[in-house]
Amino acid sequence: MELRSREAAEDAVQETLLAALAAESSFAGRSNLRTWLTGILKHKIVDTIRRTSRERPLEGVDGEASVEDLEALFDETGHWREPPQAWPEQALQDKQFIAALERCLELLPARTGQVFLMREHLGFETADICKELGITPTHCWVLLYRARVALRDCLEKGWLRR
Amino acid sequence: MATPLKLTCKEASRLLSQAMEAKLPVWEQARLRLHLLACDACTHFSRQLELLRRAVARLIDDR
Repeated sequence: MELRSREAAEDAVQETLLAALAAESSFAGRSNLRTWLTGILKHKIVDTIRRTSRERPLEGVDGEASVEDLEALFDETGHWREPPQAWPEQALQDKQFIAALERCLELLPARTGQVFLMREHLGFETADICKELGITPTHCWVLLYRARVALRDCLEKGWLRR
Repeated sequence: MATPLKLTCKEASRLLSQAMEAKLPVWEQARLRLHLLACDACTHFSRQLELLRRAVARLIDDR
């Protein structure tokens, strides 16, 4: 999802395996092959994101970094138009929740989705994401806020109320 | 805003997201806590963000 296209993802995996073969000796002492490969893959993904953002410099970020369209979620006194509901705690075990989450992630604007997944799935610190993508921390916070608000709204409509 | 202490849901939701990235100033923490005491919607929103974080962290590992 971070890479936006199947070919880019396949390339990243292929490069990971090549890098893994080339660096075989450094595996010694690592307890878990999967952890090690995942680590390399994360770096590859970041490389690819960095490369793509150089080719298409920060496309769409200005639009994505404003919160104007999020204003629509609140009335003129700043209250939720549709107040968030209590979600069942067992959502994490619910296959339909996970499926809905994946669908909702796909609907995020490209840069918003990248930043959100770098933060929440790959576990990068906000400061590192800013550095990688060449955006300011405030930009980063807006994108994360946008992603979270959009995801919870999408999940409430696509999963909770069904 | 009626008083400088009071937050709207719009402001509270933004601070809740920001608090997942960086420690909020003590003043903002106090305003947020006060808002959450009185607001079910934002309390739900806050729990949803935590649930989202846990769900997304383990997404691909579950497959």
